[in-house]
Amino acid sequence: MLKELILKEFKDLVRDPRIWIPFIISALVLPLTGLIVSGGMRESISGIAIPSKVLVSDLDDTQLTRYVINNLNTTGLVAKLEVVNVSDMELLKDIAVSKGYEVIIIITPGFTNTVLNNLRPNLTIVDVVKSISFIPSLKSSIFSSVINDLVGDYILKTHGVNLTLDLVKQPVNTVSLTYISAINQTVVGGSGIFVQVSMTSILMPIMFMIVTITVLQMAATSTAIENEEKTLEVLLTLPISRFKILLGKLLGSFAVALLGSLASIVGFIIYVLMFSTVFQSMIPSTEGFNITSIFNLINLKSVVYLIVSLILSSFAMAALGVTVGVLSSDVRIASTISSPIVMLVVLPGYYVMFADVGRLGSTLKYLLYMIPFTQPMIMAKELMFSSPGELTILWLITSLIFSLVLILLTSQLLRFEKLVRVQRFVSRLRRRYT
Amino acid sequence: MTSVVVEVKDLVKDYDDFRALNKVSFNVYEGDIFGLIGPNGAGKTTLFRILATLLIPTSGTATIYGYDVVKDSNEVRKLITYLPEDAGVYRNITAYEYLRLIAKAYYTSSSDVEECVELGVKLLGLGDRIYDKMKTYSKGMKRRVQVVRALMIRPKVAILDEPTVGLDVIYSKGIRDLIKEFSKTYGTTVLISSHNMFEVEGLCSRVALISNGKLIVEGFTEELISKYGVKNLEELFIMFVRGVNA
Repeated sequence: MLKELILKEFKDLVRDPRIWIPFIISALVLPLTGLIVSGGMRESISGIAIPSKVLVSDLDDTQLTRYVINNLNTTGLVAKLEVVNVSDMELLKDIAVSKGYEVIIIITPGFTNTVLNNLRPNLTIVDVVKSISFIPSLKSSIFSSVINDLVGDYILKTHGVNLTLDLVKQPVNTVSLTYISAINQTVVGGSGIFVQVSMTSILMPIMFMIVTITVLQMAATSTAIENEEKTLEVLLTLPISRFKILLGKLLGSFAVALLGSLASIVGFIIYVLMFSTVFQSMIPSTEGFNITSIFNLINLKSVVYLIVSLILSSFAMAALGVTVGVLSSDVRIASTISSPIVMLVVLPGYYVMFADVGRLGSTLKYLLYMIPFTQPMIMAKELMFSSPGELTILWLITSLIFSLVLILLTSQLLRFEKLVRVQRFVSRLRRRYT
Repeated sequence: MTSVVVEVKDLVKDYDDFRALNKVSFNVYEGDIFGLIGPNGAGKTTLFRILATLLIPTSGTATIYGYDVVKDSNEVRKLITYLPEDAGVYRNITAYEYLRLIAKAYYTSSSDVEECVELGVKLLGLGDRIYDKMKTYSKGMKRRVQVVRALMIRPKVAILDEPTVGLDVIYSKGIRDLIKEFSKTYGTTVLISSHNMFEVEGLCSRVALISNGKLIVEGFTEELISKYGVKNLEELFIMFVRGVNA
């Protein structure tokens, strides 16, 4: 009997095109997702390619430091290497930016003496990046490792005895910093730290995306119920404009969404504060550098804009949900249509998530800023650490206009005559495939 | 002589290659309770939806108080109310909130709104249950809410598509009495469709029978029964529908 029951269930599901069409759409969408994500990653990875252009400030200038520098050239990690004797960090940054150096290595005075006294000298390695990327530059850690090996090799050759294993394994104490040229700020940690920070700025949009997907489904279901229960039919005979009917649905759904989003915002603020405390305690005392925690670089004005953008994104999702609901004659159809639409809507967001925003062309960037579903993503990545540009308010207005135009267009569709046609079309499709 | 308030002339409605209405013409007079009868799929709901400004006829015209249901749909909507067959309710709002929402759609002044809601509360007769969420109501209560919603704003014309379908005898009678009493008190013209011939016979002064989208017969209920020598409306219905399909 179980076999018959299973067969009955299978036939019942597989003969309903509303069940399997989303699977086909998902199958088509997933490779597209891969394409978009890999496109974004390719952009980022191209920025961290080695060999690198290295600027070395040798403030010690001894046999050991010259040994290290000469051997760096033979490792294959270096495309171009320039040695200077500059202690002024600002000047070093200027040289690095003007000549396109990607790594600055600063060998502090007394480096060799410290090594010869069987102690660990400080070595500062600065990753020079244009902007914050999800894919980190691993250069500082690679060079740190290579220099440790070279110094270890040197002291083994010259000392040979009286060494501890620990000292040979890691003879140099590396301080990793990252200089972000776009905002002229130096932060603690190699740019690998951006993974964590990017995760923070990405987590928020992901969190809100979950909220906004809920908004879309809520608005779609609620509108589809109106169709199913024929309460929409009643509304359409009232002396009220179609636009007002839809706007009422939109704002009602949005109000509920807003309440849900506020809880998420509070949670996110607590999350950021917890991270911020951890990063604050990590700032090293390095002379000559104005170093800060990356969380101190977060621009509060931008955060406010970001929250507005997220709210508008939620509004756009509600508008899309209402549109989906209007076109669905019942709740099942609304749920079926919602899933692939959600996937399509979040796809461009994946691109933004993995791309190095600083390297995007201006047309693409403006487009991503204009679409309400990608705007919070790109804003979280690009504006968190810089002042919002003059165009930011324009982008927010564009996002709002997008939602209103969508509702206006849907209200044009909201003629019972047209709805009946759509429903008849769906019924015919169903008859054909079942 | 009472004036014509609903004028339907040569109304045709095609859904692609299916003709749902075929040159239907009739008049409804002020204060009438007009019954539209016919078998399933005859075109009753399509006709009501056209009068309620929801559908656009393929050809022909329909006017309500001289306003064309297509060209003057906004004006028509101020004069009519429409109760779709099987119309549901909002599950999580109360009947009181719903009646208030509807009242506000038709009236702007708060005194008019209050007066309308007061009438609605009186017609509904649910007592304190009017403040309960409508998902807790029985089918009969939900239908009564919809009928009251359609009447309480005192429309010039109320279009009720099968107002008692699926209800038990008690609720059906309650709704019939409500419609009859309301029309008599406020002079509202009512268009009603039903499969219950006894209901139509008891309620409607005039009837029209449509089948396969065509108007078969139309006139005063009593006169039709007498003219065709049948015992009641049900026999008349069977006689004509079998005749049409034969």
